[in-house]
Amino acid sequence: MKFDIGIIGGGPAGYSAAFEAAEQEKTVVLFENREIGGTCLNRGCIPTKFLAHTAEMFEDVKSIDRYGIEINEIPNVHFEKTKAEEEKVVHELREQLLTSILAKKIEVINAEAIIDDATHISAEDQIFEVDYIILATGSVPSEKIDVNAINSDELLQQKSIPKTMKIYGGGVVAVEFAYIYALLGTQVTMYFRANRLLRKWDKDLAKVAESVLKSKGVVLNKRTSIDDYNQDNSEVAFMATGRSALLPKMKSDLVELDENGAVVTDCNGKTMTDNVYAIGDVISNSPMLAHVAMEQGRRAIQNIFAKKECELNTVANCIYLRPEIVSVGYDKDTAEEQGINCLVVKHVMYSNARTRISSGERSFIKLVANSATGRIIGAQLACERASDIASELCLAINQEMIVEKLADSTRPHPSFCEEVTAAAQKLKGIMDGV
Amino acid sequence: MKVSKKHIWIETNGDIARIGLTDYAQSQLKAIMFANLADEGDQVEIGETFGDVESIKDVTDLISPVSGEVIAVNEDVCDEPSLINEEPYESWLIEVRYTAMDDDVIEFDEYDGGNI
Repeated sequence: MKFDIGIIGGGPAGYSAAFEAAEQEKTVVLFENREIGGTCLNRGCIPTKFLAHTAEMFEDVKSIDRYGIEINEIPNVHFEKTKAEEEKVVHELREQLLTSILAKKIEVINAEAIIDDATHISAEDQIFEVDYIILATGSVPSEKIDVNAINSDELLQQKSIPKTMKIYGGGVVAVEFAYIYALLGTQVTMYFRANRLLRKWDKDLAKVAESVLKSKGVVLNKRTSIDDYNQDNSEVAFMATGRSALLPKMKSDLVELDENGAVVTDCNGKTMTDNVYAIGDVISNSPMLAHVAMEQGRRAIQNIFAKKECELNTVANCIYLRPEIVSVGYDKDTAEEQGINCLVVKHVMYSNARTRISSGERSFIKLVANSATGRIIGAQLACERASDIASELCLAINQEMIVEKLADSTRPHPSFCEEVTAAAQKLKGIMDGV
Repeated sequence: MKVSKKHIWIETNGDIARIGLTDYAQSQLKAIMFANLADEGDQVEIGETFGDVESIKDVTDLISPVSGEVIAVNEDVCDEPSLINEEPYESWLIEVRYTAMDDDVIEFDEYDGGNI
């Protein structure tokens, strides 16, 4: 069988590439040996957001009397029911995705694909001839230091809420699971080597995560080792020590790998073999974000069939706590590392009406501008709906907008996003020397 | 005790400087909602920020009157920032093993808040 393109992996990178290719009326075969939708839909973003939503509702119900709403029974979580509903949502989304894929006449092969050479892929005793191959095989949790611990895939399979849980790691995955389980009533203890959580993030944002977790009863053991973790006898041991690229089987050396075993590509996704591309979590230095993977999928196809060269875009990194924590573009430290003189304003939201009405959580927006050009180059947010507000800030950065333009846009009142106006006005004031 | 022109009090013991926000400064800021301080092991420099405090309406940078390494952070004020309003001279912010101090600091007795 002959196709214009063979895509290995049916996660956000793979299916976005498949959609883009189908849009350009190319013939596509998509190989996926597990569930369509990849880590994001089946073992990542979506199940964890379902659990986070459940946990936050549980918390809200416990404090709902603030609004004059009386509940006469003590709220309780029936976790089996929670998991069943989570699986139902994931199943429905997967079915809808599969329907969309098939509607676009994309051939889906539910089997492991083996790359024979740069134009042939084998699966299910068939050989598929393709003009281009795209590797979109994603990533898996890194090998566990503690072999008795569970990883994030396995934690999502748990059918009950543990009384106690220890977590090794201080990154985004560790923080989000600690938050979810703490809200659900688990006594969570975290162990990490650095002197703070989220060591690659802006310090102000990392401090928000720390203070949110501490307020939910999570014990943070900074500057600790695996030996300290080993002495903790919690019911569940969870290793959150990152993810590693997952490569398909290949009969020949078509791609170069970096020191971590991830595929080296140019910014269009092209590997060392002209007609072999790689996108998503499997590539070197991947931010491992679904929205980045989707964009890489579209761009790879545009490069292959329209010879369009990619332009680097700013994307949002999000942590789904309450408040949501989001970083876009440069923060002060990363700007200075690049030799960019910048001005930063931090605007607090204690007087924001929507925040006061809802959670009342401490919130702020930081904006970063290039002091020479006056352009917005970054933002760090810790507030409700931060992941939504991030979109306009990404757009502003990608469109090289100056601070004044950002400040001049009218935003609804009352809203969370109206604080972008206030922050931009403050920054403009600093730039004008007011 | 000494005070800097940026309204930071300094209490020294050998090469250790314990620093905090003056009563005048806290009264100007009104209710302090959050204290964002340097971490243990961080280096601070004279004239550079070592953190900030958030009040309802604004964020105020904390300017260091000393250079050196942060050896302790007062977690009590991080957990309960209102302590800075209630007991400004008890509620120290950080301790620094200092190597230099701002030449412009004055004796506490000479300090007159807004007229510094």
